[in-house]
Amino acid sequence: MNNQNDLRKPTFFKKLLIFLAVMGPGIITANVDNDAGGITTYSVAGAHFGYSTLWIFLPMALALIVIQEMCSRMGVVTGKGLADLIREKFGAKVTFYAMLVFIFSNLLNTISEFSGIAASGEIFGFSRFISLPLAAIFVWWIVVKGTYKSVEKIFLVACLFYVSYLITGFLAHPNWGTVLKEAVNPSFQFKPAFLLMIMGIIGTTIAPWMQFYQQSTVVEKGINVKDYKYARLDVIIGGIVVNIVAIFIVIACAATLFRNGIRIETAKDAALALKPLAGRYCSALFAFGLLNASLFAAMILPLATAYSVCEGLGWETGVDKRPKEAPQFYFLFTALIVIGAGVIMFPKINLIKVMLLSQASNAVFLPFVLIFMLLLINDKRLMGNYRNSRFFNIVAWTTVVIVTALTVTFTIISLLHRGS
Amino acid sequence: MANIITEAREKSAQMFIYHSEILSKDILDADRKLLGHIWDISVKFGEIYPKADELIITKGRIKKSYASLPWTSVSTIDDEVMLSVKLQDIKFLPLPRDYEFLLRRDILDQQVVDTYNHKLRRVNDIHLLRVDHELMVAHVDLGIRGLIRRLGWEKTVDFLVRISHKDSGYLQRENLVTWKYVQPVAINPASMTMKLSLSQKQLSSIPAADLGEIILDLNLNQRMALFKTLDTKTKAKIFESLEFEDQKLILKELDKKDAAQIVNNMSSDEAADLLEKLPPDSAENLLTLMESNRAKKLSTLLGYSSDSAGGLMTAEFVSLTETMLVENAVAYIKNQTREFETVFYIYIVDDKNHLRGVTTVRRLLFADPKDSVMQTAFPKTLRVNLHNSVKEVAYIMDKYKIASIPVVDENNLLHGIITMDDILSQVISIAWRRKPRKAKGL
Repeated sequence: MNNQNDLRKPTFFKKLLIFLAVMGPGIITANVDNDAGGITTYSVAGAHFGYSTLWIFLPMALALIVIQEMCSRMGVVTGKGLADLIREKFGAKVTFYAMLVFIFSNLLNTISEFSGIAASGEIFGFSRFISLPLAAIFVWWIVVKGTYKSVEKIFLVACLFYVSYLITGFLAHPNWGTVLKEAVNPSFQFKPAFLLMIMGIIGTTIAPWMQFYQQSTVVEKGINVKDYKYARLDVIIGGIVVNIVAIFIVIACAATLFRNGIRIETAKDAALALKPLAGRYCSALFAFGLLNASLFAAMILPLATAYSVCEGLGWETGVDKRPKEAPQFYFLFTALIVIGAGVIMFPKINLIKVMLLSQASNAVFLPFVLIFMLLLINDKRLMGNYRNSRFFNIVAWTTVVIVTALTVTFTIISLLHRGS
Repeated sequence: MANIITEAREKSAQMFIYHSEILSKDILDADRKLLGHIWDISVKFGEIYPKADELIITKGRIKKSYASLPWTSVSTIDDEVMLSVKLQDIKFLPLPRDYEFLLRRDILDQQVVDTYNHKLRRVNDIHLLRVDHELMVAHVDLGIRGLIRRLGWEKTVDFLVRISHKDSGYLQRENLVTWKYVQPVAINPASMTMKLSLSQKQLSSIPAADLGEIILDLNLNQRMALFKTLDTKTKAKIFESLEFEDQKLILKELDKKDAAQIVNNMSSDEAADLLEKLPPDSAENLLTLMESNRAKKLSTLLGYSSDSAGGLMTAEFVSLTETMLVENAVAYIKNQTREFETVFYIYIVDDKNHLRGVTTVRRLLFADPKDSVMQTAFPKTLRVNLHNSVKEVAYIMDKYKIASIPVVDENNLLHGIITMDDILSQVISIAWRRKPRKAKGL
């Protein structure tokens, strides 16, 4: 008798199993977002402004979830990547130029990931001339030799390593009462530096490659429309987890560096400055987290780029194809890694500038991607009954307008600021 | 390649025109007044090449309006498209009608199955043929040059290539595929069906393994729509080439009867393999919907462990009784309609189905027609037991260099045969320590 009930209503255990099978794209994409650039921004936010930026993470998690949920939904319903859909709806010209910008912006992002690898290697005493070639080969090998399933497992393990930042946060012994108060209590300082910081946090957290990557992986996984609610849960969990990690980075730096009035410019500075204040382990964990995050993102960014560009321009794509069958795919993937690691070998390169430039290129591209997405997701022929509801459209458009306005303003101001 | 146009381009230019060229032209009415631009062209299927049926034009930048005109009202296509109707006679509507098949919406920039090269490809441009006042889809352009033309750089890039490599293949080669070999995969969202082009027949000529890969590259709706257009035999062959995970995905979308039909047409070892991996209740469900003889056979196969001879074997083979005359045997084999994994090896049994010997078609053909089949048998009858392991079977087949081997039980009753390809896929997966075909994905 019980059996019949089971068929109609899945038990909790069964639901959990489905979720575990569907889980991945959302959590992975969100976590990669805490990459070298992200960690740098959060560390600086904590060191310079203490706990006062914490409140921003709640609305930001919402914005991130709203945007990523749309990608996930489009992937599940249409079974096509975002670049595919842009090509099919907006034509070859738009796609080609969008992909050109995409390659450029992701190349800068990749460079900034490799700079994170070099920096964390140096904290542990490895020269960048050793750590960079090793990392480049490792990243290339894992992806080219792996299958979707094996690569996803590695990525999920990499997600677990973000725990190191939670531990760092605890080791820094923050005042939890203040943390809690600041997290729910928006405080605003009308100083240009504070405004810039807030915008910077948002700018590094919502990046165009995330939308492309997440939709492609949802498609690769072949998630069924019936299981869509589990895919949505995956996105929500990802959006929350990534913000919790970010909050802990801010806390770790606020409880130590801010309290002692130490000013930093990079994540490496933060790790080194933590040593005398919070102990050797705390500093090492912080650096390890940076290494993990940078490696992880250096794997995914070139991959996401190669996938989307080949999808959009109609070339063979996929790591299951041999290089002869998908030459453009392998060329792009390899070139991004080689250039990304190669550029950092030149000691003259100003890494802060690279990071800033990569954020700027993200910001220029992001509004277009978000508008493409909103037009696509409201296309009846494409999405049928899975279009945005009116309420969701209002939320989505508002998010898009705010995020766009903030990122663009941030980029303009900071470029002017740095330029002078 | 048969699909490459090699005639001089200049000569054909008058008759052929690219879709991208038409799209950029202004539209003038009979009084040479500017009407607007082409929004799309609707086509009609039926003849060899789809024919332009209606021209859909749009005017206005912010508040767009649309009008459809029958193709017969197009008088000339030169630097502009001239119509034979007047502006005041054209009715503009705020939204386009719901057309069945449009060039830009359903072919351009979309994926199509190239049934000549067995691949799923994206269309960069459409090559149209003008005959009198008609416009037909002749080829689709899948090449890089088509993409460059769409970006508006064709002349520049041509020039650059010409001065650097005069004889570059880029200038001579066009990656055009004739419509005969093109199956569009665009779906009509209302009926969830696919418009079938001529090449539908070509589809089933694609090797099942390639067709399986094409189908996996499509999204679920396209996949099912394309799958449904195929005949049961092709479906079964595709199924045999797919990994279990992919089989399961498609099975979920099919109704039970169709699913049973497909499994019914698969070779028994592949069918048993699939049923074994399915949850017991769904396997049971499929079995009850199948031919009863076949279901019985499959349920026995299901009883053996998958890495034993019993689990590997197939129940489709040719057997003859020992007393049969060679001439009758040859006639009997000729009349067989079922598909066997091998007809080369023939198994000789007594009236109780005990294995007595093995012969080959070749031995039968060269034997005296009045001999009994038993006289043509090999002196030594090789066989394996139901419970022998994959490795043992592979060892024997390799040692004696034979392409298939009979499987018997303790009483020497013949149950099935194992062919080389069954062993090969098993051995490859052992050697590679994973599934022979790499899973699709990132």
